[in-house]
This record gives sequence, C-alpha cells and structure tokens, in this order.
Amino acid sequence: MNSSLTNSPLTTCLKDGRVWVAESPGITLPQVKESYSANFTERAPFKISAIDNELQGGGIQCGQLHEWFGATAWGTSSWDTSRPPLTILASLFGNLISNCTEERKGFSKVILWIGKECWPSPYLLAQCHGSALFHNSLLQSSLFIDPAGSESRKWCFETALRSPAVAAAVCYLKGVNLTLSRRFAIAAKMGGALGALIRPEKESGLASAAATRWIVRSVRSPTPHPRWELNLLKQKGKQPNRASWIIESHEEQKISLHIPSDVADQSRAEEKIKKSA
Amino acid sequence: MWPINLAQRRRLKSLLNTSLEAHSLSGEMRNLNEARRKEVLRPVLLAAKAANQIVVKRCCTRSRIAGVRPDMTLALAKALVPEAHVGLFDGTQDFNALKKLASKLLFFSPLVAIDTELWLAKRQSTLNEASPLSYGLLLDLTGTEKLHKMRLHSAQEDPSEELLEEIALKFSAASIEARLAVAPTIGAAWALSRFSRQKITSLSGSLSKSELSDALEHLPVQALRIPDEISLALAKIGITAIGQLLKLSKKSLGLRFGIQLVRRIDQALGSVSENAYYLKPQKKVIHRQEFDTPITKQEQLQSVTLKALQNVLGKLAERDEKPLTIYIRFDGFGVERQVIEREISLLSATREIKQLQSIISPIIEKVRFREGARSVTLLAPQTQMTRDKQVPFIQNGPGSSEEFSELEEKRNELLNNLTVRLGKKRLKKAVFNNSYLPERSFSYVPIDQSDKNGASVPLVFLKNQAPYLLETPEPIQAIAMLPDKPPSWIKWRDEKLFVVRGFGPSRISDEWWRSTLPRQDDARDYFRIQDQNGRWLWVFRNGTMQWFVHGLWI
Repeated sequence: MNSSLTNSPLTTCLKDGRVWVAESPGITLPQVKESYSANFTERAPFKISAIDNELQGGGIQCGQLHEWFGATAWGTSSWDTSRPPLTILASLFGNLISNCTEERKGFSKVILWIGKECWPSPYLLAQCHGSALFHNSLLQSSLFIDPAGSESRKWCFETALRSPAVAAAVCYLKGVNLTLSRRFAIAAKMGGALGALIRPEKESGLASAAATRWIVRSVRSPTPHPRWELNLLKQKGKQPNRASWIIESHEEQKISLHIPSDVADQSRAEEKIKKSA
Repeated sequence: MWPINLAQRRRLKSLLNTSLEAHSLSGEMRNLNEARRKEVLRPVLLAAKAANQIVVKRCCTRSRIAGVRPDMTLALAKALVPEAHVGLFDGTQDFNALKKLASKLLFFSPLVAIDTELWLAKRQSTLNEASPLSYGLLLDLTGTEKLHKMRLHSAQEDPSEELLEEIALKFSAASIEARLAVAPTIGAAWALSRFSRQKITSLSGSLSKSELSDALEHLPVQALRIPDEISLALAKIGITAIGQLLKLSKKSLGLRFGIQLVRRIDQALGSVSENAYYLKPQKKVIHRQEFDTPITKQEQLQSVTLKALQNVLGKLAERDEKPLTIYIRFDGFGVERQVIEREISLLSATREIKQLQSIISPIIEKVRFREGARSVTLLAPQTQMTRDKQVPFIQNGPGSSEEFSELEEKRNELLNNLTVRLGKKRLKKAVFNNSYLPERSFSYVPIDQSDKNGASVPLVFLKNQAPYLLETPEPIQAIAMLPDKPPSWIKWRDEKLFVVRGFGPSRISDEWWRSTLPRQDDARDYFRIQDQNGRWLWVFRNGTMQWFVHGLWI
C-alpha cells in the first residue's frame, strides 16, 4: 500500500471493518494480508513426498542459503571441474515458480545463474517449467551473469540475494569461509531469495551458516535416465529421519525428478551401493 | 519532429539534399572491414525474408556488375557471386543509423530532415520495403550563408560550394557514399542528388523557374519521385526525360496520369509548397557548479554530486524524461588541473533519487583529488520518456498489480546496479536461433539486445540435449568397436572412462548453406554414454572420425 494512504481515513475504516474489500466479502484488509502471509511461504519442493516430508517447510525454503557440493566432477585433480547439479536445481526452481503461480496468480521475480559453470542450456530450462512462450516461465525469468573474477562474483551473489526482486540465485564459489557464508545467509534473509551456493566437494567439511547442505553424486543407472544420489548433510531446525535418496530425472515432455521404482525401498538401495563399493 | 511549411517563408531557399542510396550497404561494409581487415574485400549483399523466401534487398556495385539485382532470390544471387558476403538487411536499424547521422549534420544547419518517403515508411512500419532511393537527408541551408562564410573564412559571396566540399569530405572520411545537391526546392534537390551525373551539384543563387527547369530537363522522370507505375506508363508513350514532360500541358497530364504527377512537377519547380519532417534538436540537460574554494572532503563531494543530480532530475522531470546515462565530471584545482570523468550507463532509465544515489556514491567514493575539486558538471546525455502509470487504490494482498510494479522497480534497481558494476555485456539472456546444430541453436546475448535474430521460442525443439553444454566441444580419445556403436572407452581431461551404457547414434548433419567452402561431409553422430561411475556424457564423432565431448548430464 502506498505510504501516504497508510493513515488515511479509508485505511482506518478498513481496519475497523466498516469498509470491506469488494473482492473478498467478509474479510477486512488486515485479515486479507495476514491470511496471505500465514499460508504462503515461498519454497521450492522436490515434488517427491519422501524427500519433501523430511525437509523443514516441505521443500527448499526461500530466504535461506543452501549449499550444494558438486561432486559430479570430471577429470583428474589437475582440472577443477566440480559441476553444479543443474538438472536438480532447474527442476526445483521450476517447482518454485509453479508453486508461486498456483498460490499467487503471478510470478515476476528473476532467477540468476552467476558464473559460466552454472549456465544451464535453455532447453533444460524450457523443459523444466512452463512454455517458453509465457513471460513467467523459468527460461524467461532466468538471467545469466558472467562476472570477472571471484571478488566480483561474491559481490554479485550477495547483491542478488539482497534484492527482493530475486527468487533464486545460483553461484559457484570456492573458498567461502564462515563469515562470508553468514553474510550470504543474512542477505538471503533480507531479500527473501533462495540462495544456492555451489562449492567443491572437498570443502564439505568446513563450517558454514547454510540452512541445508547437500551433496550430489552420480550413480549408475540400469535405465537410460541419469541418476543421482542425494545426501542431506545438514539441516537447521529439523533432524531428518532419512538423509539419503536416489533420484532419477525423466525427460519426456517435461523434465521431472522421481525416485526410481527399483530403488523405491531406499534401504535396499543403500545396501546395494555399499556392496558395489 | 513536425512538418514545416517552407512556402511560408518568402526568401529564396537553398536546400541541400544528400542521397545515401548505399547507406545500408556501407554500414555492413564497415562492420566487415573491421572484422576482417586482412581479407580481400568481398562483394556485399544484404538480404531479408520476403514471402517465404530470402531475397536480396541491397547489392554493391561489384555484385551489380555481376548481374545481381534487388528483389532477386538469394540463391540465384549467390550463384552469380559465390564469394559474396551476405548480411542481414534491417530497415529499422538503418533508419536509426540515418537518424543518428542526421543529428550530426545539425552542425551545418538547424533544420535537418529525413526523406519524407522514408519517414512515412517508418510510420507505416514498412521500412524493409522502402526503396534505396528514399534513403537521404535534407538540410535547409537558407540563411546560414553568413555563418558558414565566417566559419570557413571564405572570400566568395556564396560559400555553398566550399561548404559542400567540406560536407562531402566529412562523408568520405566516415566512408559513407553520398551524393550532394543544392537547389531552391526540395524536389529539385532530391532529383539532382539522385540522378545528376556529378557527385556534387550546386544550383544555388537566384534561379528563375525556367533556369530550374533547364537544369532538370535531362533527368529521367523517376527523379520526380513518382511511383513506378506512373513512370512505366510514361515510358510506354515514349516519355523518359523530365524535359519531355514539361512540354506537355498540365491538364492533360493530370487527366491521364493522375494528380500526383502534376503535384510532383510543381513541387520540383517551386510552384507548390512542400513539407519536410525536420528533426527537433534538443538541448541536453546540464548542471555545472563551481566552488569558491576547492573541495577535497569525500562528504562534500558526495553532497555536491547529490545536489547536481537533484537539479538535473528536476529539469528532466519538467520535460517528462528520466536519465538513462549520467555523465559526471570533476575539474581539479591547482597546477595539474586534474580532470576526473565518469559515465554511468543504466540498463533501465530511472528517476528514483535514492536508487541513483546508491549507484553513484560508490563511484564518487573512489574519486581522489590531490589539490581539491574546482567544479562539478553533471549531465544526462541519454534520456527516456517517462510513462506514468496509475497506482491502484486498494491493495488486495500479494500478487496485486501494485506489488508487481514495486517488484519491477526493484528488479530494475538490481539490474542497474549489476550493469554499472559489471558492464552491460556481462548480463545475458538466452535466445533460440534458427539452427539444428546444438551450439548454434541457442545463444546467450546481452540483456538489452533486441531479439533481432533470436527468438524466445525454439524453432526446432531439440530434445534429449544435455542440460549443460561445454562452450566448445572438447576433443577426446575414444575406442569404438563398431563404427555405428557408442565408444567403449574414452579419455577426457586425463581421465580414463569405461563406458558401461550407450545410446545412439543420432545424426545431425552439417549446415552446408552456411559455409562458403566446398561442401564437406561434416555430419555428427551423437551418442549418449554412461561411464563406470554413472556419469552421463554427450559425445559425438564428426566426419573425419574424431571424437568430441559436447555436453554433460549434471
């Protein structure tokens, strides 16, 4: 609401319940606002109930920093090739947008992909959410940023998280210490964006202020679809019963994540993995 | 821009018309020259899509000699000049370039106009169909003689010839092919600039109607700016030159060929007035403040910049404009006369002082003066018109239009912040291109670039592509047991991978129409393979049996 209107007689009337908003009869303005904010928490669910039930708020929450350790690396140690789990992130953000559009009629925020390592192919984005035609699809909301140097990248990530116009920001950074991760976490809390910080796997032992920490590894699949082992290393506020899942991405009309049927009983899958290791 | 009736002024006019027929071509040639300086210059064709086929819109002299004509299909033209460079013809872009050029010519005269035909084509958005003859600029030199005489230190009474030479020199220095003509009427100047044998024609001075018709009589009838149908109809009865037309009675001409022909003759000879759409030169908003004593302190610099900014924004608000680019200049004090200049170009124009301040103050923080600053100058070289929106009266919870406009504002703020710090080129969006080759089928383009070639919707949706493509395919070593089977072993980035599963091949053939070289069989066979650790890669083998990694499933 316009600040000049806040204390106007009309607002007072609305607060007192003497004037009602025409669209929602019986509910006065402050109630409308409260009901929205109570029901609505922006989150990016996996849309896999086995995982979402274990997560606080039923998904990856906005306004927090989440760390992803890109373990899907190629090449020997001389190559620095930790890769961000782009398929998982893109489908999470797709779910975030569809959640928003279902609950709030519209989505006009942006999603930032910072650093060339984190630029997914537009085909992936178009397949993850919405038709590319609509302005609020994942592809149309995406912005690709290529900062020069790591200092510039850090600044960019922090600025993005601090802005209320950003729904989610992905950034690949090396050598993030506790102080810096706390800064990112505070920025995300201020702006309400979902911060996805991609880090090399070897840094998974370092302390950080992230709300959740994930490690993603490729696993062999008997099907023609790629499979990953998803490990939840840490979650603030809620201790999960299970912290390891195997998920598969299907690419028919749309890309969607599933728990494959042959490993639906995850405990057996874990045994299998242990045996094969 | 607004039309000015020239006939209202009684003085004899001197109008300069420049023909820039090759305007579109010279732009392309300049780009080409810069890109490939070492290469021998090739003939240039500009093509555009028309009625489901690609046709040549402009061609250079060399290709014209080879037989290429406008509106010929590109395939035929390429058969005539196989070595030609083909560029995309974009009428709007050319029009904008012409407008820019016109604003530069304001140096010579305060009245500069773009050709009326072209201006009308722009209004009806039919720029791509506009004839190359209509590319031209009109300068009203009436009354500027004295000024130019003083400026050029000319001994002659009428300095128009020296002026013409100067303008011609300026054009050739900018490698723009231009033909110039000065005449007392717009029509005559147009005709002489397009059809005169000389590159520069001057008909200034007091000319009677008969002298003017003498100058025009040898020119073809097309020089009267008449449609092709009329000139064809005239040719049928054997009339090709203006001189022949002038001998006939106007009444019969009007009855047979329509009033347009008669009006054009009258306009060329000055019997009827003619309007031109003159550009409106606009003053730039500038604020300059000098200080009595030099200022050195950071807070003082910040506060004077803020004041200057407020002043400029206030002046712009009176004109319903908001700044897109802000230029700040500090002049230093003392012997060194240190000058510090900063230009801030925003992605979206804004007049929110807080937002601008948050962008400018980190820049001012880095400004250091040894002996203090003497003055500050702030101006907005580029501006945008403001379009005020009605603010909704009552907010109906989140998702209302007010929140959206607020979000939009915040988004613009973020983008401006990122642009100023990182530069426009580092902010990209993804567009799809018309191609089958995976790396060509999409591209990341600067965010402020209009979707000229790319579209936000793919023309061909390439399925089963890897979600992450390497910038360029990386060569690998591979062993494949059978020619059309996926490899069983590969070595990429010093790591040996054993392939446990593989799918393919799916063949993508090379786009032969793009290459100028003789056709090579460069089809690619793509395979999707899984290594011993479960990682999926997208590899391909090209026509020369070399293997590459192109994408990853991550």
